[in-house]
Amino acid sequence: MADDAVVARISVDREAAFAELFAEHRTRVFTLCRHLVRTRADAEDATQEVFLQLLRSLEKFRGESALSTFIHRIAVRVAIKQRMKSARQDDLRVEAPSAKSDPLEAREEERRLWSAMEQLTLEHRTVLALFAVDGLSHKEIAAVLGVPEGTVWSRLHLARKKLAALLRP
Amino acid sequence: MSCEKFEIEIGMRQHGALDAAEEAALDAHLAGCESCRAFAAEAGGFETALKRRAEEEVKQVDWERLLRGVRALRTNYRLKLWLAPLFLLQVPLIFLIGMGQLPPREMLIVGPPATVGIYLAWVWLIHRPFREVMAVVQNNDDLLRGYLRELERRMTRAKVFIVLNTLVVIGGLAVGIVMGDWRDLFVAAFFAGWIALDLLWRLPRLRLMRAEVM
Repeated sequence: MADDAVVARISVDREAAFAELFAEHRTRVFTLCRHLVRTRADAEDATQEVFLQLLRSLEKFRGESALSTFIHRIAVRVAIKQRMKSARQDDLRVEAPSAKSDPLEAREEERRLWSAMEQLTLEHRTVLALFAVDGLSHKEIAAVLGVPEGTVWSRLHLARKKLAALLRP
Repeated sequence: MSCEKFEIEIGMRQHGALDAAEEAALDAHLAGCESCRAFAAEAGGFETALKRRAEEEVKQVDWERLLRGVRALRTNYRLKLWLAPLFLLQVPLIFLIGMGQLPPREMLIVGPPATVGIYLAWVWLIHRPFREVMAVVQNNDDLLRGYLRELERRMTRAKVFIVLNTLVVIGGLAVGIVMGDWRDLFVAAFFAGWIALDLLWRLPRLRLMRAEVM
């Protein structure tokens, strides 16, 4: 749905427009939140909060950026907040996503990757998380983070280097 | 030429951001640089691994439940907005107490909930989470640095409030003790509670959040 059409539709049929937005962006928002928080429950809470913030702020959307950029900026910010909340509640358990069908060795590798992600700085973790979301180009990632494209690439590079060093035996 | 530039370009190529000339230059470098080839092999899979794992979890999400949750949260927020004015109505009661319009026994009963009510209304109307998120998101500058600056501003504000409230407490105590007026002691106690809130809860929470971002 085009951004202008969404904003126009909000005033006419808010619930239907929101339901369409939810269907269109839910997977990417959840994926992004999952990469930034510690557990799946936190990711679901963060996703709900993102769409609640979106519902409350759509009338204020001024079109200065693409709607998806706006949504992803909210998602990053809400996921960080959710992460802080779980840190304050002393819930430092990291729940690595896993599929029950994976062999033990593959699951162990995934657990190590997620544990290593936890040791990255917020900047590095965020840029890796954004690149791991389907459908986000480097230009959009730069817009979401509010930085030049060169900064995005250098942060990605540093994140990968750090992750590689952490995972080296 | 340093390998750092080519290592960055390895990442750019994996995301389709190089033009033909840049790709050719990168290939020429990789042909002669073992460490960059090793880096390309090692670092290329992180985003793919993260994507794959998240895809598994996405399949398990109950989207209908999530959407119902969003609507429930919205209802909850609207309820708070309606209830907040009821708490604000407690403010005139505080002034009545201050002017001594109510007998002492009723003041003691009404005072504490009035104080709690004012604080809750302040939290809901002024410090609600929505403003906190939107303040950073609507500014199109660096999102993460913007968040860090916001945290620093809130810490400075909390410290200023501690200083100002301390002066009010000292003033209230002094006047209350000298004049023998219990109402000043009540005001001093109220602001002392505010200081305790900032010192024991708000500032430590902000420091923890700042440590996470830095």
